[in-house]
Amino acid sequence: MPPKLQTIFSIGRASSEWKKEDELMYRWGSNTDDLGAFQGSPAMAHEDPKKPPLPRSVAIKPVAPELTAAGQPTLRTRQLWEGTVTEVRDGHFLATLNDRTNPQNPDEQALFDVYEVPQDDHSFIKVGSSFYWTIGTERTPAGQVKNISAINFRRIPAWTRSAVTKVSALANHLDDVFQSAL
Amino acid sequence: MSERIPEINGASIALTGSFNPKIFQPEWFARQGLLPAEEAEGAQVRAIVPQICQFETERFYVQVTDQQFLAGSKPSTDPAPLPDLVRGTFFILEHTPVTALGLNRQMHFALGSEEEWHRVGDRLAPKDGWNEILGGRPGMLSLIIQTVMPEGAVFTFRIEPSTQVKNGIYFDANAHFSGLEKDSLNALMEIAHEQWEGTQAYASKVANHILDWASK
Amino acid sequence: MSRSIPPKADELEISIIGPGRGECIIVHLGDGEWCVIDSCNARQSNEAVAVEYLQSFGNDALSKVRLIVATHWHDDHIRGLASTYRQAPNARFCCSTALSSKEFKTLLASAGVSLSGRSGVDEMLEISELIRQRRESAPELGPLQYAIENRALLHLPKPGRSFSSSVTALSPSDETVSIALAQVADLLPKVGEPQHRIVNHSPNHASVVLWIEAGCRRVLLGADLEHTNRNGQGWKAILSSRQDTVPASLFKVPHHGSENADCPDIWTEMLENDPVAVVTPFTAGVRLPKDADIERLAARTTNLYRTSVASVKPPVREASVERKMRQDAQERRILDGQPGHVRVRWSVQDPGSMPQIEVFNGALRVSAASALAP
Repeated sequence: MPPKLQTIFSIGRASSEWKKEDELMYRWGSNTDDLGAFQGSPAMAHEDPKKPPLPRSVAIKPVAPELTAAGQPTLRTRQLWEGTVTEVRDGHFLATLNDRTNPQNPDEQALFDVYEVPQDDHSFIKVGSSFYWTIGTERTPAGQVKNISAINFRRIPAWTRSAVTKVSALANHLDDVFQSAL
Repeated sequence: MSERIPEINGASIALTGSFNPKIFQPEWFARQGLLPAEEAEGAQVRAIVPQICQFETERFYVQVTDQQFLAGSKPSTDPAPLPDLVRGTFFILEHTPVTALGLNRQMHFALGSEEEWHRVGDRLAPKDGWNEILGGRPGMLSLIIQTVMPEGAVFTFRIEPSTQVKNGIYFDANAHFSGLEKDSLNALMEIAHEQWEGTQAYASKVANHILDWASK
Repeated sequence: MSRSIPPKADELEISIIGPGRGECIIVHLGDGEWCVIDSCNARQSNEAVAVEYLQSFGNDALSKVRLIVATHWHDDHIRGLASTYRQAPNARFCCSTALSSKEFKTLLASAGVSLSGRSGVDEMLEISELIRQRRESAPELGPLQYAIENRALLHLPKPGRSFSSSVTALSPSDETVSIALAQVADLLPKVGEPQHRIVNHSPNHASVVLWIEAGCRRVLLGADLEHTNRNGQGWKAILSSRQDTVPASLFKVPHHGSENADCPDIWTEMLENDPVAVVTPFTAGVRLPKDADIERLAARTTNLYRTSVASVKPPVREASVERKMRQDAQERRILDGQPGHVRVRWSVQDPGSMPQIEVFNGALRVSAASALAP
């Protein structure tokens, strides 16, 4: 038998009882093999020596930290662009923008000041580099709401020797395709 | 009805296979160019031992055991860069044996009122039979629905009352892909690339549909 | 006339579609047979404009596409070409001979391995896989065909047809292939270097210029070929090696009307007096054609058309989003406008007949007066 849970959450009870989530005990894992099915469970309590241990028969899966907003801001993305740098000018860069929020919208082009980019990302401002431009609403832990706009360059590893070898092998395979008898 | 936007949104990518947790430290990610140095330096490390490595940065969390790799985005950031973090990791660690992939999205939605919240709960899990036999006030704690898509992916949806949002509902959506016998890692990373946006959008679509249906 | 009415069997049709990035030319070679050159997508859909146009006839025109040509490999000029090729089961594929090189194959392969995604050669990579599949399923179509100076790509002789027609490549020359390969070599992956997207740069020296003969009619499709004024390169090479001396009645102006693709000798040696000339705009980077380009072209022909004005309203977004975008981004512009369409149809049987020229979806005729207007 699983440990007795205090019934805290019940859709149908009064809202005043909603605040007692810290009394929740353990939640057991799933019988399914689905990955991540119980990650981020909002009801997963952190280990507490005062609480009784789980029976051995209960399957335990590694779980992610709960998806909680406690103590951190939350972002509501209103517009996401994926950009590619096409030209670098003095103190600026030109980029093609692909609308990831509404992919059916046409691509756009825009000019950005390098100061819009975090210092850590300045070395990425090169032709062919890609970035995300996120525009949204951020709610701070204190409840303040502000509009934000952030450009962050994509972090993609450099070419490895193994990857370059794979490219050569694939190029050789393409030899079969790109033959001509005419 | 216009699309409901979650109040709190997160995503994660999980892999099962065989991993060496000690590798996956913040400094390693920074050295490989997968995380900005400043973000890696500011990481909150919860555990780095042979059995598990777990840390959080400003935008992500990473948790690795010898059998599972998990990386997720925090509510303070858009999940878009998450696939780069995972694909980049296994671009470098290209010989990692991997058997399955999970693409996950977690969302807390706010409903309009406590009345709507009750209505949704009663629609998802009717209490009539329970009320006849149980004392107290029975309520739903968790509901899991699973389906197998024609392409072979297994979708699992878990719905619970939200602990973070008043009169809120929590959705946890998982898309599970099993690896092939040969070259699993490459195949699964390709799936992570091709299916990421689709599974994220599908999770939102399902959540929206169910909430719209349940709140009528 | 409705856009969806197909040409008559004895009509030559040249349809030029250009939404602001990329272009597509669809040629009716008589008796319901077609050739498609390059590709772009319709703005409101993900389908190639050639597929949409040919499907609109409702007569299975796609199955009668005989030749598909990629004049160069830049994604934004061939977006949707893989889809077109996939849906044209009887078409042979043709591209510049520069793409037969090891360097280019390595470039294609790098797009297949790289994590940077959405590269300038993705479309070609997809096409290469389709070619491999089709070689196995329909070997009678013949292998992939490479275009090089004065190579005949397609010949449909008269017997049994309304008129004879042929498609001939006029470029690239050997020398320009070498230049193109040197450019490609700079883009190849090297150990330790960052993975980048391949960003398309003009000029494209390996661009395929096409000469179409249909009965008594001639058409010159200038692709993106630039004029370097050097022997053995670009338009100078074409002028010195051309074999058909009959002048062309229609000219697809090369490289979006830019000054560095302008070779005055083309107009005097390869084109009729006052030909139909069509220019497709380019909205990314430096906008083309510039006003000066339009003035120059309008001075050479009174029959100048452009496929779009390349000025498009952006989609409506939330006010707070628009405000933030205006704060952080300057010089915003939409890159893909309406797929403006200039369609020219001629009777081939009657050499004296005038062309029937129609414009759709925002394409327009440029008069000399409007070209000079402030």
